[in-house]
Amino acid sequence: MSFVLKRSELDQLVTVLREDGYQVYGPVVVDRAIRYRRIDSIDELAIGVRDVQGPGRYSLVERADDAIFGHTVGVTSLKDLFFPPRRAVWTAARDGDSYRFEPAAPTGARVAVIGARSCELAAMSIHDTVLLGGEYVDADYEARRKAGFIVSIDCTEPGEVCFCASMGTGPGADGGFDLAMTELRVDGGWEYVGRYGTQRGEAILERVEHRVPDQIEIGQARSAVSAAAGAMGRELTVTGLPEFLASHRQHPSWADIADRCLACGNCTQACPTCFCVSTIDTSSLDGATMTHDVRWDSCFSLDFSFMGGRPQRASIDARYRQWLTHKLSGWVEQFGSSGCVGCGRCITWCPVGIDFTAEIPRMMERIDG
Amino acid sequence: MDDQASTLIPRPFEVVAKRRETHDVTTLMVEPSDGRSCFGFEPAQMGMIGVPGVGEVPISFSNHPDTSRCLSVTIRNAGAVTAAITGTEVGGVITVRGPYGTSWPIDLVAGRDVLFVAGGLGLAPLRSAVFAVAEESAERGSVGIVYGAKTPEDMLFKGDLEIWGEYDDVDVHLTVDAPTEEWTGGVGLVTALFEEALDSVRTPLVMMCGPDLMMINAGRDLVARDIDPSDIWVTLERNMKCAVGLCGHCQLGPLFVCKDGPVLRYDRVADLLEMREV
Repeated sequence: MSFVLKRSELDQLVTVLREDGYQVYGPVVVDRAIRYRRIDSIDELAIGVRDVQGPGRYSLVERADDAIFGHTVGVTSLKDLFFPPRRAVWTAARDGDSYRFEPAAPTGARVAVIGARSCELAAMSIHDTVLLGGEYVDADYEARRKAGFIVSIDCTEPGEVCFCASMGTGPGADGGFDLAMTELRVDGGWEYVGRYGTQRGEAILERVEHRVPDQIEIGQARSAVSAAAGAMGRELTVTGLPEFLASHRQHPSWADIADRCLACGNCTQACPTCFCVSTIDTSSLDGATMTHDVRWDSCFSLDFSFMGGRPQRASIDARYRQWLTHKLSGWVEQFGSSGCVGCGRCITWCPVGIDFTAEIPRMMERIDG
Repeated sequence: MDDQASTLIPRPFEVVAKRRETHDVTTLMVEPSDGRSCFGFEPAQMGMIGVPGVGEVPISFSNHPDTSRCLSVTIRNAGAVTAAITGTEVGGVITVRGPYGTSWPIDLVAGRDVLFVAGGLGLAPLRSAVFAVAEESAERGSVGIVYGAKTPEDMLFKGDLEIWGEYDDVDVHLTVDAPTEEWTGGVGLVTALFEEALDSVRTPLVMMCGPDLMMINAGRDLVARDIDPSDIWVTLERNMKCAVGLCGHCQLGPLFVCKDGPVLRYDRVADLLEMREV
C-alpha cells in the first residue's frame, strides 16, 4: 500500500499530528546547522538548503531548488528526542532519619518526527536492543519510544561522509517508521511518494488528503533511492572487521590516531547509537530533597573508567580504541549488530577530522604490509 | 514493588553495626528501614551502595549469605562516595539496590578441592563463598586459602581467618609485602605461597579476587602449575553507574562486568586482563 502527498498535504500531516497531541519535530536550520526542532508547519523546515560535510567540516549552502529534504543528517539525531541528554531517574525526600524514594514520573511527551533518515531508524532499532532488549530496561526510553510517531524520508542525495550502504542501513528505510516517503521533483513541483509502516500510520494518513500513486511514480521513487545507494561519499568494508579489531588491540595505529585525537568526546555525543550515561546526584541546599539524574557520558572522559583512585584508561590511545572497538566489534558480540549505522556524524563533528573509514584500511594495510 | 524497575530504585538501609577493619577499610552491617524484608544474594553478587545526594558505588556483599543480620558491605574509603558511606554512623541510613551480577560457582565445588586466592580488599567478595564452601559444603574436598595484603595491619577479617584455619581440611596461608617484627606468615606476593598451598589441595577449583595486577600474576602462575584455566574463576571490579548493563562504564572488551560478571571464568578474561588499559 502506498500514497502520494502534495506539499500542502504534507503540511496537513503536521496539523493532524499536532491535533492528536504530538509534539512535531523536523530538521530546521539553527545556528547555521541542521538540527531537530519543534515545528508547527513545514514552512519552518530546512527548505532549499544543502549541507556540505567532510572530516571536521560542515556548512550549509543554498540549493537551486526549494526541496524540503535536500540535505542529509544534521548535527543532532533522534537520540536527542528519545534518549535525552539529561533526565531524572528518581527523587528522594528526607523522612525522619530515613529517605523516601520516588521513581521519576514517566514522560508524557508524545514526539512525532518528520524527516527521520533510514540510518537514524537503524540507530533507534539498535537502541531498542540495547535499552529494551535485556533483563533491565530503560523505562524512560521505553515510554518515549512507545509514544513516538516516525515519518521517515528516504535519502536521494547522500553526503560526502555517508556510508549507510556499507552498513546496510540505507539510503531507503526498510522498517522502523509509521510512514515513509521519498521526495520527488515532478513537473516543477514536489511530490511525496510514500508507504505505510504501521496501522497507526495508516490511521493518521486517512485524515490527510492524498492519492494513490501510479506504478511510474513508485518506480521513480525506488530508482532515486537505489541510485543514491551507489553515490555514497564513503565506504567501509565490514566483513571480518569485528574480528580484526578484537585481535588488534595493540596495533601501532592506535597511538597515531591518539596523536591527533583531542579526547573531546564530540563523536560520542553526535553518534546516534552511543548510549553510555553517567549519573549525577544533587541535593537541595537544606538537604531535604535529592535527585538522581542520568546524563550522556563519553568513554573519552577520564572519569568514565575511574576506579580505585585512577582511570582504567588513562591514555587517549586506550580511550579511542575503546570507543571504536566497542562500536564496530564488541557491539556485535553484545547486541548482535554493529554499533555503527554509517551516518558519518563522528567524521564531520570531529574537530580534527579523524575519519575511521580511512583509518581502518590504513590499519589493515600496516598489518598486511 | 518487587518488579524489575523497582530494583533500580534504591532502598534505605539503617546502619546497625560498624566495624573498622583497617585504617581505611570499614564494614557496615545494614538492615532495611523501609519496612520491607531484606533481599537474598549469592556469594560475590553486588549491590549499588550509596548516599542520596552523593552517589552510588558497586560493592559485593561480604556477609555470610544466611546471616540474620541482613547485609554487610566492606568498603575502602577511596573517594567522595565511599567516604560518605563509611562516614555514616550507627543509626544513620545509606541506600542499597541489588543484588546484581554473577556469583561464585559454588555448585561446582562438590567432590573438588578448592583454593581461594585473595589480595587486599579482595577477601571481601570471597568471604561469603569461604563460609559457604568451608562450613556448609559437605561434599567438598580440602580447602586452601591464600591471602596477601600490604602489611599485617591491612589484613581484613583476622578473626575469620583464625576460625577458618581451625576447620577440618582447611589451610590458611598468609603473606604481606611489608612485614612487622611480630609477623610469622610469608613475605611477598601470593604466588610465593602457591607451592605450599598446592601441597594440600590437588587440581583445585580456584576462586580469586584482588587487584588486576595480582590476578594477572597469580593466574599465570597457576596455569604454569598445570591448573586448567577453565578451573579458575575471578571477580573483577570496574567503574559502574547502573550495575545492570545500561550505563556502559564497566566494559572490558566485549564484556559488561556488571552483568557478565563480576565473577568470570579466567579463560574468558585472561587476554583482556593481560593488556594494558582495556
